[in-house]
Amino acid sequence: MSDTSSVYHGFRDGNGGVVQVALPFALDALCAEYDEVTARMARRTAPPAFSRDEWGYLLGFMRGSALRAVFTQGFGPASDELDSMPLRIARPRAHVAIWLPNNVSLLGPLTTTLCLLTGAHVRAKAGTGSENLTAHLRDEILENGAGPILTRLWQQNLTVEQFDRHDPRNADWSSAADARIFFGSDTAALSVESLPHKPGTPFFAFADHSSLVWADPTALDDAALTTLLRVFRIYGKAGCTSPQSLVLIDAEPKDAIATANRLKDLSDAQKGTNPPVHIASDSFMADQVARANGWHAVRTDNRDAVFVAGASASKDLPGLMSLSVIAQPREEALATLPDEIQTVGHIAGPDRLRDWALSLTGSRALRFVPVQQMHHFGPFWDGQPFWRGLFQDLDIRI
Amino acid sequence: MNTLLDMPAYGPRDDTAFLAEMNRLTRFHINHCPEYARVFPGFTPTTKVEDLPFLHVSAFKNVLFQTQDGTIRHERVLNSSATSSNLSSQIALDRDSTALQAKSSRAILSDFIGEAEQPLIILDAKSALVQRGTVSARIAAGLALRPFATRLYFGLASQDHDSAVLWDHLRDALHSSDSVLVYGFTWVLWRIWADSDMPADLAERLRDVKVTYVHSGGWKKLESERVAPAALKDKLLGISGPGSQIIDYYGLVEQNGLLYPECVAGWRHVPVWADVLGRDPISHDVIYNTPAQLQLMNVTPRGAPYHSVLTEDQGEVRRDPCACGRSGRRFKLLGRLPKSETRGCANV
Repeated sequence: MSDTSSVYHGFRDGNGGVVQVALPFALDALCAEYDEVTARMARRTAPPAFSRDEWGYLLGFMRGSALRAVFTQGFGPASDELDSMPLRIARPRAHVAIWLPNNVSLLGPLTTTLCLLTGAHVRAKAGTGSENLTAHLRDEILENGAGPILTRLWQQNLTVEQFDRHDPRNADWSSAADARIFFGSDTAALSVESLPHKPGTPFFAFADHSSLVWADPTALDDAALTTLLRVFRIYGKAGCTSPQSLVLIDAEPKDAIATANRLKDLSDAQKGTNPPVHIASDSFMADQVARANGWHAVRTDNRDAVFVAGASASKDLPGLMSLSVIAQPREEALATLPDEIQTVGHIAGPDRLRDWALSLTGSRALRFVPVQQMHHFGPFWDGQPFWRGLFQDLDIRI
Repeated sequence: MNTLLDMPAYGPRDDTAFLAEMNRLTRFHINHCPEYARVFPGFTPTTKVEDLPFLHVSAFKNVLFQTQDGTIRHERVLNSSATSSNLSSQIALDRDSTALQAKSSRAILSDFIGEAEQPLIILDAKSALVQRGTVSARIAAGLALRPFATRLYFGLASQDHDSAVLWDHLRDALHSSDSVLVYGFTWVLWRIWADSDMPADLAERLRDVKVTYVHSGGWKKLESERVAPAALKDKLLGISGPGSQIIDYYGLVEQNGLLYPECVAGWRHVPVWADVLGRDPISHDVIYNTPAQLQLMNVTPRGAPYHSVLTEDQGEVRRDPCACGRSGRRFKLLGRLPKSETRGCANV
């Protein structure tokens, strides 16, 4: 007897069989509702809680086609063989709890969107010291004429609350969850992991990480540097996916100096508005620290960023908007990757990329992506297919 | 040794002598501190105080600047209290500078609390004194009052537990005199003195003792508890004897020995061996009578180049006479530079 409350969606898995994903809605209908609501949201200016870039990215992330792609990434190509005997039936885990840190940007809205896509009931704990962007997104969706499925998901299936780490709701939510997702520091991850939970409940921890860029100096034309600047300027070095440094593979120190100078020139040419005063102050400090260490430092005219050409140690240069450019042989670049490395962004031709990718096998790197994709979030994160893990499979053998 | 420190703290200024001493100090540090020299390689003596180079205070969190010409005897490293960045400033203290700074703080404080000696209660742990090679900003601030003390009493059993109060020590201090000095970080002063469950006998005795409270720093924690400065003041004066007073001073480890007590008119005055400028946070142009990023200078540091620093604090600088009667430079402290939320992770 089939579960009449579920709608089955077929996907062909890697073994040639069919996986049927049981959802409490028709995926096509949900995607159509997302398309309609995001089209309306796009016609309005970004809400105050979001920057223009954040809002644009969020709307793109919620496009119907993008959300359908999450399923094909998780289960394989769509299949209309719904009448054939499935290899597996994937059922969403009913209750998902998400822990978000304070300074996090779109991770809350993005992860919540993905979790609700399974039809689960989602509880998201936002930090007490920052904007609750998940709640802002929920309000925007509901105020912009969401259809019935979206309304049910974002209104009835979602709970977003702000509380601190000592709040008893941490334990309550953990106990009730069928899957737990954590973003934050290593220490906090251990603390949440040890909260009471049902046996076998998956725990996906996305903790302390840092990222950097590897570049072939011959590929660093102005277009590539401008792309890097665009990625860097979003949040400077604040994100786990933010470039902490630009490593010029097999280059000379003079190349690093020339690149730092060019980054400054390209920044100055953009003539942006003045930065917040604390960023200007922070950049002034970073410039002085770099110089005190004997590194080559150049500051943009309006003090919104500092570019430094220095030794490997300059990777740890303080300053939210300070970017180190380091010339290193590939072996040295590999050896000095930070322990908590997450993403290695790349700027190079295809002839180099394969070797570079293979050389990362022995490292702890989790992503090797074009520099413009460093911040792109998805159902496969930090090397974990976490979104697929929000389903529990019924394994079928005949 | 400069003579500016022999002048009255808030008397007529000798700006020529001050500038000459600052130029000399800058050259001295450039000659003997390689890290500092690399920051200002092209320094030439300036004709205006506005043109003197300055280090950002947070540079001291990342570089241990130390000036060494063979005669300087470094003794300890002064650590600031950790901030949200979890990094402390490290200031290399030397014997000569420490002596000048003690002279400086004494002259400044005596202008506000007088010269009389009385028991001094430091709301901190004695163990903080005996850490080898380092000294915390908190304990250093308390010890600035030592010249005014007949005897020292420490109020806490442990640095790490602000609730571990040594009530017996406080009882001894309050019964030893009809007037006492009390120093504490603002937050500590509130928590273990103003807002504590003080034993009844002690509270009763306190109502008969004239207390001069001196506090500094620690406002952030107090603000998070929604305690306004006026509430702290009212509470302290309400539980203390007649004639009690409260001195709230501003200072930072990167300007050790320079204390900026708030005057009755709400301003902070600059002694003649120091100076203050307000700078536009972006252009660094010097501006007056409007909120600006504060630059503080003084002539005492020999062991490290912390004689001219750009703070992360905002203030309004004025040069006209103050209603309190003190002359010279003054500024109103307006708090930290405004900071917008820093977001990170997973974005376009």
